[in-house]
Amino acid sequence: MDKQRRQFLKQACWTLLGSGLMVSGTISLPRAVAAASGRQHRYAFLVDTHKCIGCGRCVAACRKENRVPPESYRTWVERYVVSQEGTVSVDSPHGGEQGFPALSAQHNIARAFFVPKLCNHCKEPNCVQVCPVGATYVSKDGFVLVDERQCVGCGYCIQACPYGARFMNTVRHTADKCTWCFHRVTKGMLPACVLVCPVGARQFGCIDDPTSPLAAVLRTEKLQVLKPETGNEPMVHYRGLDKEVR
Amino acid sequence: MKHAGHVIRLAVVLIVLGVAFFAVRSVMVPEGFGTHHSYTYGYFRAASEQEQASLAPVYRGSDKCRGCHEAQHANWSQGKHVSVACETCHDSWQAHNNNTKEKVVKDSSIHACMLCHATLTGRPETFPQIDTIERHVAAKGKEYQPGTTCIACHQPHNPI
Amino acid sequence: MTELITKGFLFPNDIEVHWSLMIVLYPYITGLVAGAFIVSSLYHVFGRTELKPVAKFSLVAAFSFLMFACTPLLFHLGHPERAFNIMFTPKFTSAMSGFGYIYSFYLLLVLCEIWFVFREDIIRKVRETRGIVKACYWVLALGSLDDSEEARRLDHSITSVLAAIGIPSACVLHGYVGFLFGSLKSNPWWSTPLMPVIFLMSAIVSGIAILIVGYFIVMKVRGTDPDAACLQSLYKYLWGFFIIDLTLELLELLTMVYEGEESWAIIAWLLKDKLWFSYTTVQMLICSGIPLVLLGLVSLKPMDSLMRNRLGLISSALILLQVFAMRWNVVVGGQLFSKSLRGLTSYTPDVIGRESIVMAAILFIMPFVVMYVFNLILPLWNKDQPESTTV
Repeated sequence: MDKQRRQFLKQACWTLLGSGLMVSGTISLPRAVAAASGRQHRYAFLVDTHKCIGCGRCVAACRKENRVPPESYRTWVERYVVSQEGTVSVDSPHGGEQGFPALSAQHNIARAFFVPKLCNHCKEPNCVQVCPVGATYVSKDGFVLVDERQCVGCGYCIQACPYGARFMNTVRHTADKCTWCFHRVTKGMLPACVLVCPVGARQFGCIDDPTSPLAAVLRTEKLQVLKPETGNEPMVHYRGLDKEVR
Repeated sequence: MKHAGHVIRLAVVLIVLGVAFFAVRSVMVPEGFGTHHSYTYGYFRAASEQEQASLAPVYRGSDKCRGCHEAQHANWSQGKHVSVACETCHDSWQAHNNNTKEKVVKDSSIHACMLCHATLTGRPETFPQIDTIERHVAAKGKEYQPGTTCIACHQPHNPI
Repeated sequence: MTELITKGFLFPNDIEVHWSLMIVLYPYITGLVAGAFIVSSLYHVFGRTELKPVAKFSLVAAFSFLMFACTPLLFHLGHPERAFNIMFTPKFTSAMSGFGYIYSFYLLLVLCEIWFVFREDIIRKVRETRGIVKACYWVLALGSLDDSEEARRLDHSITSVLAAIGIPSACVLHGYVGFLFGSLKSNPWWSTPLMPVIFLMSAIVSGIAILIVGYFIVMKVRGTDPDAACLQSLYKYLWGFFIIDLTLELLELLTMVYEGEESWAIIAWLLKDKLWFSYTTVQMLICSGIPLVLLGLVSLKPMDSLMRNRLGLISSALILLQVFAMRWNVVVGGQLFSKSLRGLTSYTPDVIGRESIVMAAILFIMPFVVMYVFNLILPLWNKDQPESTTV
């Protein structure tokens, strides 16, 4: 009786183990899922610091378009003032949303300029690499997006972004950031910030068509990106990115 | 292994826990969750892309305004402010269209123009800027009347 | 919300500190777990018989802290109700994703080890009690009352195996946290290959320190003397591991100073300004310098047990503070400067609230409550059996 019971137990254990492994094997290993859409374009963003006037219309439009909570910024503008002696002062009052105040004291200014910033939608974003639950990802078209239904709000991606582009959405309690207005681009529109810029300092377009103007600019002009040493391959390109800009 | 009965019992408990966990997991993982193009960068819930794409736009672009404001649109497209979208100064289509009976946002104060055209360190020198409206009017050889705004001489849609 | 004091230029999204006191507390608690477990394993695997008096205590301490290890994280998450996503859809390219499975595996391992270590006592309780209590103990014994010599020997060898597996597991449980910080290229205060080792060494140190303090207090409350040989051994291990820990921490700083990379300017400002008190004064001068000397005296110089225990206790308390300060300086310190490398912000935890000082204190005290309750169910020291260093 003892031996039979032991045999039964043994068999039961193996059965349970086997079925457990089978069940887990079919759902735990990451498997390739059919593509959500057949779209496959590559986009890029171009910022021209020679043109930006620091009016802040882009920041204001983004806030309305994307319901960005106060004190958080999907995009912002920085002002750099370099004196003749080489001292640098940088400011971004409320992200530049209401423009910039006149400088209080006019030092000997060697050069001054505005630099719009936004999410760079890197090709190899380390913010996506560090998400523990698969809530942020790169879409087939290269947009770096956040699944707000999946995000647990741990904040690791916010720490990881080298550019300060991410923030914690205080309404949804999930990570949030500029999406290059994915919901607009997929309808054939331009991102809101590009639309409202009065001087054309922001440009956006599809670059997998080699004849598109933006593709030509990216190929032939000498442009810069922010923090290339990260290896993230940011896709926001800059004209006139000064060495003082981080 | 005569005295290993208690070890077997523990093993059974653990295995049951393990199977129960994976059973629960198979129910809880959302539909379409998996690796889409790369594990590092493309491990996500498939439906999320569509959800993001289906958000409603707030700004619609100047072509949309043309439908009701043909005259202003025509005037605008011939002038220097053609690079400035309608919604840059007049707020979004959504804000206006929801109150179609109300007039579109129209800020005629100096501030609306000075936001871009005030002299400000950092602005490109080729960009038209003025210090104050008084000095600008004086520079044009005219007499400044207190309370004058920019629109006294400049059409906002076609300013020069 | 307390006023934020910012200096210089920060990116607008960098002004607020996201990883709060709760994220300082989490590695502190898992550090205590790893350290306590290592002490337990020093006895069960490496045969340090002088540590027998604290072997059960350290194992239960590891378990108690492990029970509450995930609570600071749950209090921090934006969506704690989705916390299980880390077990359902983990993405293993993220160091943080390891948390779900590593933590669960380690919790089960410690639970199993406790079960095997306490089986004798559970079976005795089944025999000594009646009614519902007897039934509860019977369930705890999984219905097996086999406490024969062979069963005990089997339990003993299984315990050794579990303790042996548990050592690398404890290292991974705490090491992954270090890697979580150390692998982040965007933060120059965190990014270093030394981080997992620094975290692990300071974890071991904090675990030994809390065992010393805990063992001492419990013995005093019970009215018995703590085992002198056990304490002396713990003091020596504490000193040894602390030397390694401090060396690594200083090496990291020294390398940063020497290399003088672009980020050094803002980090130097950080250390002189926002971290002057918590890093230079508390972590280094007071809580590293003093224990280093005192423990050296305790380990090398012959002295009467009263003096030895006084110095040893002071050192242990200071080290517990040092490790907490280290966690604070790493976690919070790394967020006090902007990615612009041009500005500093401030952080003051709330007094009450979800991620507050009071909450942190409660979560830190709870493991001691667990230990107390555990002791009521299964005594950590048997009154009738004298404390002995023989197996």
